[in-house]
Amino acid sequence: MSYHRPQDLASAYHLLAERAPRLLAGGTDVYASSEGPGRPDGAELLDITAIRALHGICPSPQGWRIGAATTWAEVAGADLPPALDALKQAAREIGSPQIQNRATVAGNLCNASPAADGVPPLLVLDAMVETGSLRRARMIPLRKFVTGPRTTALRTDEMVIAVHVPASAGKGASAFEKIGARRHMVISIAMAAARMVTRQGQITEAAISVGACSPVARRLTAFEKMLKGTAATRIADLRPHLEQELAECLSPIDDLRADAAYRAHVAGALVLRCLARAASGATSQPESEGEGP
Amino acid sequence: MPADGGIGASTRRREDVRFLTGQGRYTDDINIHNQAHVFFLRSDMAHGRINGIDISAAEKMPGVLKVFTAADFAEVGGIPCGWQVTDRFGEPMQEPKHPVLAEGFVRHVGEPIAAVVADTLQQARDAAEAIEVDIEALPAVVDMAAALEDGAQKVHEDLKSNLCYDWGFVEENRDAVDEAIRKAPHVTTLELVNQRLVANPVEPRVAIGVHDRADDEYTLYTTSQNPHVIRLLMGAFVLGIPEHKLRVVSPDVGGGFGTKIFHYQEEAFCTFAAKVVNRPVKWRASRSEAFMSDAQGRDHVTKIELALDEEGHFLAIRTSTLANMGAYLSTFAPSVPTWLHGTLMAGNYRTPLIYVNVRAVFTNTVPVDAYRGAGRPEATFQLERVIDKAARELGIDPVEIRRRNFITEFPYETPVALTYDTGDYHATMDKLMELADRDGFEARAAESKKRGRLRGFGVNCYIEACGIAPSNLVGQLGARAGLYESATVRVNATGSVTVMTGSHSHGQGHETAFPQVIASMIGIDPSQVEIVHGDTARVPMGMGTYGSRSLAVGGSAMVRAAEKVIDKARKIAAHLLEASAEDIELKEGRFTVKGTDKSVAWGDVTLAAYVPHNYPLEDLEPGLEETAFYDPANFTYPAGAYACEVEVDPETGKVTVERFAAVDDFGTIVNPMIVDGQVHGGLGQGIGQALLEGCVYDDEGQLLTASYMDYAMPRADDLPFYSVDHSCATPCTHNPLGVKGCGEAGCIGSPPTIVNAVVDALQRAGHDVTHIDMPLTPSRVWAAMQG
Ligand SMILES: Cc1cc2nc3c(=O)[nH]c(=O)nc-3n(C[C@H](O)[C@H](O)[C@H](O)COP(=O)(O)OP(=O)(O)OC[C@H]3O[C@@H](n4cnc5c(N)ncnc54)[C@H](O)[C@@H]3O)c2cc1C
Repeated sequence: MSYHRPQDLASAYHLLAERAPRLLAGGTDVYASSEGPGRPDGAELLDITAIRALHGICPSPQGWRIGAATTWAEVAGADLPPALDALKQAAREIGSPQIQNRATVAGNLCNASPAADGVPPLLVLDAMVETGSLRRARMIPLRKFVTGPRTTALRTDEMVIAVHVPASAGKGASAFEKIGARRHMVISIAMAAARMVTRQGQITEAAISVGACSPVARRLTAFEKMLKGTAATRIADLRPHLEQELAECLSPIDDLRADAAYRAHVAGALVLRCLARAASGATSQPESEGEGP
Repeated sequence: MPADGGIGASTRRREDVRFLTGQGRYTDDINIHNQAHVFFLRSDMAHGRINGIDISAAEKMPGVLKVFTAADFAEVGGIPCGWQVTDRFGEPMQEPKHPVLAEGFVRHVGEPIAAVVADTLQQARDAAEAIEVDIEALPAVVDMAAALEDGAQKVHEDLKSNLCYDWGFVEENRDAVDEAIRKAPHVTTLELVNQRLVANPVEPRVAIGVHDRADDEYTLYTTSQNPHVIRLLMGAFVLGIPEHKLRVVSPDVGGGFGTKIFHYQEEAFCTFAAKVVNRPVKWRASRSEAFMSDAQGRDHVTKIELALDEEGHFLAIRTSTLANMGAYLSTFAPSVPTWLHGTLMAGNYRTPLIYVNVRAVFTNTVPVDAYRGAGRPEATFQLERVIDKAARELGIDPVEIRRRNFITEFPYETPVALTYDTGDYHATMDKLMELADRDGFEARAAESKKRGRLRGFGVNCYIEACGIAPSNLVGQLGARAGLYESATVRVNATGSVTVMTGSHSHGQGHETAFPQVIASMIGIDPSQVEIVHGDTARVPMGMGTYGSRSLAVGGSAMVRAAEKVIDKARKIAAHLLEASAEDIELKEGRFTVKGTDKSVAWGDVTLAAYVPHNYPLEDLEPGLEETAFYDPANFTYPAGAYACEVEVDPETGKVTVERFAAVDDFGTIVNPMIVDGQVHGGLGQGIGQALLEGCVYDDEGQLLTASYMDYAMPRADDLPFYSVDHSCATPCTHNPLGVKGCGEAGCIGSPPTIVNAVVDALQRAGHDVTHIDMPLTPSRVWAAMQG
């Protein structure tokens, strides 16, 4: 087994193109999924954590750039506007503090687990995934990046460089809710994120997503549209519509952790909780439609 | 708190310094020069016939010393079972052979099929991948009821059926109980599951076998709660090594919870293989191996019926239980659903007639054996759940119905063969009501409601039989061992004391608590006392630690040995003081002639014993060292009452434990802080069972919860702050310290408390829910609310 830890992107691209190694960031998925102790499967590992360009969160007029190798602990501690609260809340619920200190944002997306906690909050932030390789650079909307359970749009010579949150999604406030068997160190039974912008108590923009109830986390676009123009205090009245959309677009499974009927129900409950929290965050903001980056 | 650090002092645990600073000496810390490593190839199939094992490729792999299969163990015995249960027709239980490596069949996922011994673990693991095993799948037996049907697939072809035994207790009461239930004005029935658990001590099991060719002596280092028992079982029954040629050492052990009582194949393997390859052989379980090779716990399916009169007095109890044994009989497995369970069905109550039926069943699952509480949590759970249900049906307050039936006179002979020596259940309940602030519950419930949460109050009692056990009694009940304990008290020339105890500490704090007792008896500082345990070469034959027995039985042996020592020292002092021994008293480390100021210090007497210049040599041997074996006259009966408040989130079904109060009567308390810790730990495990933990197999016998990813252990933030109290003490009447044992209580008393509270919360909110099986996951609680 060979192990590479390049200092710059160019070397990483070369290794990727020439040797098709397995990428290693925090290793919290790679090691957990390997067979024997201390021995990730696959012959070669490319550790990207020494590449400076992949670290950190930078605001810009276009939005926020979150380096691929940024850890969840860094996200949780970052100075970000209320619109990104859902992401920070998810960061604090991934695994445990030890896991958050190692696990990275891109690792979570690339692992593409249906229960990845990072996906729903980034979906409501209209996140874009920036990829790089020797041959091309791409910007892929997150909802097209994760293509199925454990599959992504990445090609073998590509890697994720950063995740971008556009400035347009920096408005309003957001919230994240997850339920599992216990508070920490669990695989989510269901989770949801919502972001909301209000004006004088009326919802002007809403983004909602649900995870762990379908092969890939989903946005609830129909319900989002329905919420536009509704009073933030009246959201619960629309619950039947929410449940209808959930029934149509989710395909929850029965497993050890919960059965499908429970997942379907609880997803709705979590969405409503997120909306209520996002609404209270959004309505308490000054009427400036939130802050820019 | 006594200033001298003796009995009653909350002294900090001296062993924690070493544990918390990484200086602990665990079995895995032991590495022996030239040791080889073993990797076990384990079955990934629950049931199958082995048609062939091809080891030829593996044998040629780098570093491989030898590849072992069942054929290598042809001359060796199977893993023995230490308890024979006699069924209700007077016949012995069915007892299958339990080979070291699978013989002809595999019978559970994780059963070792072959073992590779190599220079390194990596080489052993790589070579194991090259072993080709041809296994023909057989239908897996998983469901207990189905396993007992006529024509069911058998786990063991050579046995008559999958029924290990059909046990009735007390068999003579059977008809009277049936009659009482038929005639009773009210009968409450409850069917419930006490789910299977995985013990998961932090330290996985480790074994290192060493064989010394020079004098044909063996040493086994192992993570055991009872090294002498391992020496006896492995030496006499498996490998045929006489005791004087076999030493078993269990150094620091990182938690046992019962699962490290038993003798396992890996121990026998390493000891045996060490001689064959002429190298020490080491094995350390990975966590995944622990999930499929450590004996698991509980797994009972029960129907209980409680007959009551109109006022809620208990008239009779009848239970019918299926108890899962797994694929083989682990060391004490047969005793758990029988003698450790049926005898506890009286609980804290006067119930004149009780009949317990248990059918133990073989299945293609990992063997099941004692796990913290062993049988007693199963008994308590049924009883306290059915009482709660009966209270609701009769409209009687759950505390009141318990009080109405409390045993109040002691000694009390139960209809299930025990004699409780002491207890004061009303006082315990009074204290609980105060500690739990039941009066404040309604206000807290109203506040929860404002936040959209449903609050419930749960209460229950428990009793356990600890201080295991009078040897002649357990012998009649089928134990193939005595259950006394031993201690040697060695006083050194300068007065310090070394105690060799047969008890074993794997987290309980013996190294701190035992010296407190000696310190109080002699009047020296506890720092002058050292405890030695866990090595058959250093400690007299002892039975080890389980069933909350260490202080009650091992401590009693130590007290008896110390009494002998003090007696002899008094005679030496009498000689030095030229007085008669009857007139000498030992106080605060000095022997004094009563009523005078003539005295001699403890250290002068001990020095005289080893430098016997001025010494009554014609009457007394020199030296100051005594051994005692203590065989208890009865069990001890810790008892208590627990209460908790939970909140249920009606939208998600998520349960949180908001308050927990535990009032325990443990008799005399030697170190209150250690006792608090034991209760806290037990409560954590019990709450884990109630809310989170559950071991699940699918229909093919695959272990679905094979790692921490799917088996949820409780973490600190899943648990509340506890209020614990042990002030309602009624000391045990038949052991010298008056102690009862505190290790299992929390784990026994807490599961029904939680379930009672959740049912209460749901009922108060108008849901017609009478029972939910553990673990009370959000999904289960929510489903119960939907009706
Ligand atoms: C105990 C434990 C608890 C956990 N709890 C949670 C939880 O609560 N919620 C949750 O969502 N997850 C959880 N996880 C999963 C994991 O921690 C997260 O998915 C984490 O974000 C993965 O990041 P990483 O840096 O460790 O990824 P790695 O393990 O290093 O990599 C994961 C995958 O992504 C690929 N990869 C990594 N970086 C890149 C890149 N830049 N470009 C392309 N591919 C890349 C790797 O090749 C690999 O396939 C848990 C894991 C453990 C071990």
